[in-house]
Order: sequence, then C-alpha cells, then structure tokens
Amino acid sequence: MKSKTLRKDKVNIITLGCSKNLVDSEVLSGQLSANDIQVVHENTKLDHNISVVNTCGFIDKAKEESINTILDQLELKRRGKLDKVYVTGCLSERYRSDLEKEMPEVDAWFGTLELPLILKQFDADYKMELLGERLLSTPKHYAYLKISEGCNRTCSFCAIPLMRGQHVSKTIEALVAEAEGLVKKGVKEVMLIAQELTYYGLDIYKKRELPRLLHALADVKGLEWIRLHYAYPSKFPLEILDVMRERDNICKYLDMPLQHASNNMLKAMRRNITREEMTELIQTIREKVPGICLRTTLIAGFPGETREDVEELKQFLQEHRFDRVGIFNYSHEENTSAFDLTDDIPAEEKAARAEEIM
Amino acid sequence: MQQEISFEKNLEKVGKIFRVIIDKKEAGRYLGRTEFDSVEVDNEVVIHSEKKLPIGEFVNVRITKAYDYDLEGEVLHP
Repeated sequence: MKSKTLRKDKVNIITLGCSKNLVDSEVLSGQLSANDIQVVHENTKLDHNISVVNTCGFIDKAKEESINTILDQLELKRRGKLDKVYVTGCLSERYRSDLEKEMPEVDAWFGTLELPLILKQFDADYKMELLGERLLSTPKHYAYLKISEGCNRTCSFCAIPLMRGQHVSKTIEALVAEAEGLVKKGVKEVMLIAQELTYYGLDIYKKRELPRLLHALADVKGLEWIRLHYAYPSKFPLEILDVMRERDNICKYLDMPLQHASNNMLKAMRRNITREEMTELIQTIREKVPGICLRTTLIAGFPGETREDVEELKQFLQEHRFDRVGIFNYSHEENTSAFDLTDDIPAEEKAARAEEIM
Repeated sequence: MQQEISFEKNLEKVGKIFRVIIDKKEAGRYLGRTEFDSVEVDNEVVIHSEKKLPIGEFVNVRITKAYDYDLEGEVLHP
C-alpha cells in the first residue's frame, strides 16, 4: 500500500453525455461533500487522488468518448497520479460485464441506480435528508432540474430505457423544495429536464401533471426563467401552453425532439405520431404561444430512410421554420428494436444527409 | 438549409430589445442569452460594453447584428 495513506481523499468527478447525467454527478458530489469528502468537478489541476467517471452509453460516438476518458484515467493511475478510478453511469450500466473484463484496472463499476453503493465505496452514508441537494457544477445563476427518471416509451432507435429503466416522476412537493433550494444558492433560471418531460406525473398521479408542476414552480419566488427541454410530442398536454402564456417566468421556449417527419420513418421509429398530427400540434403551439421559440432534434439515416423521406423532412422543416434544429446521425444500438433492421445507410451518407438538412 | 432559416430568424431580431441574462465574460466581451435561448445549444448574445456588466444578472440589450447561430447587441443603460 501507499505510504501517503494519511492524505485526505479528494475526488474528481468527470461527467460525459447529457444534462441528466450532470445532475447525477451533482447529486453524488452533494452526498460526498455532506460526508466530509472533498469533491470537485472536471478538475484540471490533478490535485485529486480519486477519479469517478460518469459515463454516457447513448450512441457510438458517446461510448467511444466515455471509453477514452476511462483509459486516460487508468493511464494516470498507472503513472501513480491517482489511487483509484471508479466508473458509473449509462455505459457502465449497459456494458458492465464486458467492460470489467476489458479494463480490470478499474477499481469498481456502478450502474445508474447505485448511488448508495458508490457512497459505500467511500465509507460514506447515503443521506436521505439531502433529497435533491446537489453541489452545482454550472455557473451560480442557472441549474438543471430533473423532474423524472427513466422512460416508458419504446422508440425503436433508443437505448435509454435499457440504461435508465422505467419512468419515475419526482413529486411536485419535492421539486418545489429543490427549486427553492436552488434559488437560495443564487439560481435564477432552471432548465426542466427528463427523458420524457410530458409524461410527468402519469406514474405517481395517474395523469399528466406537467401543467400543475409548472404552476407550482412559477410560484417559487426568485425563479425568473423556467425552461422546458425534451417534450415528447405524442399526447402532449396542451394545458402547458396556457401556463406558458399566463406565467411570465415560464420561458416561451420549447425543446421538442421530433426525430423525423415522414410517416414511414415515424412508424419505423415507433413514435406514436404522424406527420399530420405533428403539424397540427405545432400550429396549436404557435397559435397559443405567439413568438415561442421551438427547438427540435432529428435523426439522419435511420434504416430504410429513402431519398423521398429526406425530401419530406426538408419540406417539413421549411414549412414549420423551427428556431433551432439539432441532428444526430443514426447509431445502430444493440438490444433496441431497430437493431433487427439492417443499418443500410453508409456512415458518409448519414453525415451527408445531416449536413444537407443543417 | 436550417442554417439559412436560423439566420433569417436572427435577422428579424435586429433592432429589437430583449432581456438578456449575462452568462460570462470571455475575451473582453460579455456573453448572454435571451428567453429564447437555452444553455450551450442555442444562440448567444455577444455584448461589447465599456461598463462592467454583472454576471448572472439581467440587462436589456438591443440587437445590432445577426449571425447564423449568434447575435450581437448593446446594453441599454437605464
């Protein structure tokens, strides 16, 4: 063992992937900190002795980045700069048994729902009373607010339910308390996130309660901007639009990933919505909330996507003039239902289609 | 294609006044966002200001220039 064991541990958390993962890192660091363990995010000074890599396992590129990050940390450990390397998050949840074999130098692997086990590794206790307490890694004036975990949708391309499980909403009371805590720390803007925002409440309240949650959050004093990310279009609760219009501190902003616009593709992607229904929804949104900023994300090169499908998508984008568009090249993910299809669009063609749309 | 749409939409904002949150100061200019822009993924409003602007606070900004994915503006002092 090392002679410098008297040195106090300092933990560095490295977060990859999405804002939902970032929130998990903030919760972990909040818990460690409450147990008197020094913790930092994305430390470049290398004055820590333990690294926790919170990985992403969503698509090829993200997995590669996560693996490279783990390898970098293992290299630091080999050179004696680190005592321990732990890995958690989605990649670890999805591929743990394979990864354990390939990277035996990692000291421990954890899944997405194993926070208490990570803490145990540090001889720390999971403190229930800290519910929602986080050590923020974002600038003081904004923060993400994760309103639920998991997803019950079965979009054919998506590996997230494999890593994040079924939908579990937090209660309105817990979220209001969390938002009040954030405001006390100086936060003025919160970005509401979830795998699927509009499903909120169906599991715990037996109905879609995002509108009621928005009213409750809008009442939190000091919260100046509340922003909505990741709204799923099918069964979109239209009352959200009334709340957005009525309440000044709910931003006229909606991030609604649509993935595609041709009915063939929407069906193959199992999106539970048609182009016509999406058109009607967008028109309603723009009518009810004039001036709203609409953001969407799309997939290029899903199996079987034809030239006509691409043209239809472009026409749809011209028609609705989204304020922002993001696009991902399709990534063929094992254990998703689309994996049974043939990944027939070459990588260069996927990229070319994405480029054409952007 | 979307780049053009984005630029046209940004052009419509020139001359208008928006409430902007100041995120940070970088390379001598301030970077902020309007209600219509989220963190990291959307437009940033680039603000040149002789006067010190408070990070994390709101200011009113008149947009003076549009880019594909960013805006430029000047602070309106009360």
